[in-house]
Amino acid sequence: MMKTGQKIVFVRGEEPPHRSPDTALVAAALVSGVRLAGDKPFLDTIEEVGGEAKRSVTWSLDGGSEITFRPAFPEETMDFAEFRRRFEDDAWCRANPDHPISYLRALADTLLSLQDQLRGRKPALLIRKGKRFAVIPQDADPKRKAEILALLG
Amino acid sequence: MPVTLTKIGIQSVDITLAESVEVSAKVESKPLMDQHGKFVDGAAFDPTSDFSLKGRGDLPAGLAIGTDGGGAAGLFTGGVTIVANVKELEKNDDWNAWECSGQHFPNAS
Repeated sequence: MMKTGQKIVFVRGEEPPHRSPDTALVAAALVSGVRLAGDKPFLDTIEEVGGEAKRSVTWSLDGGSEITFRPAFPEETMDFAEFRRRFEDDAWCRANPDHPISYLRALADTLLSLQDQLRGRKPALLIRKGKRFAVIPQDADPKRKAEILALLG
Repeated sequence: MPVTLTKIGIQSVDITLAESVEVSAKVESKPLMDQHGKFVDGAAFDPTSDFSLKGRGDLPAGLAIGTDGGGAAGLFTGGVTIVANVKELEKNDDWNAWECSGQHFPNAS
C-alpha cells in the first residue's frame, strides 16, 4: 500500500529482469536492509515505440530505508571447506548476521529466488495514448482488456 | 541492519489505466548582477518535477509508468520521489480508483 509522505527510489532498466544487473542490485539492497516500496514494487512492460518493441523494467524501493554495516566479526583466515560449511549452514548464518559469509549466502539465495520468480513471467503490455496509458498483463481477462482499451480511446 | 534472510515474493501487476497524467519540471533561478546592478547572467539550480496522476487498477504500476517521462531517459531516474498525496478507493462493482501526487528531487540521495 502506498502511503502519503512515502519516499520512493526508482531503479529503471531495459533488460529482461531475470538477467539484468538491476536485479542483482535490488537483491543486494534487500539483503542489506532496504525495503521494497509497497506491495507491488516490480513492473515489467513492453510497448511499441517507432515500430520496435521497447522493454521497461521498474523497481520501486523505499527511499526511507537505511543500511548499516556492523563490522562485528574478527579478522580470520579459512580454507574453502570451512567457508562452505558456514555458507551452507542456515543456522550459522542466522547466528552470525553481520558476517560477510552470511551476506554472501543471503545475496545468493535472494538473487536466485528473484531470478526464478521473474524468469517465466511475460511483460505486461504498455499502451500510451497522449498523456494516458494502460498496463495490461498478457494473461488479462479478454473482456477486461477490451474494456480498458475502449476506455483508453 | 544485519543481513536480511527472509524470502521475498514478487506480486504480479493487475490491469491498470491512467486517465490523467500531469508532470511539470521546474528549476530555481538566480540572476547574476554586475557591480552596477545590471543583469549579466542567470543560474539555474535545484531542478524538481511535480506530478499528479489519476487512474484505476494498480496504483504502483500507475506511479511507475506515470513518472517515467513517457519513456524519455532521465526523468525520475535517480534521486528521490516523494508521494505527497495518495487516495485509493476500493469499489466492489468497478476497478479500484486512485489519485496520487508528489515531487521528484533528482539530486536528492
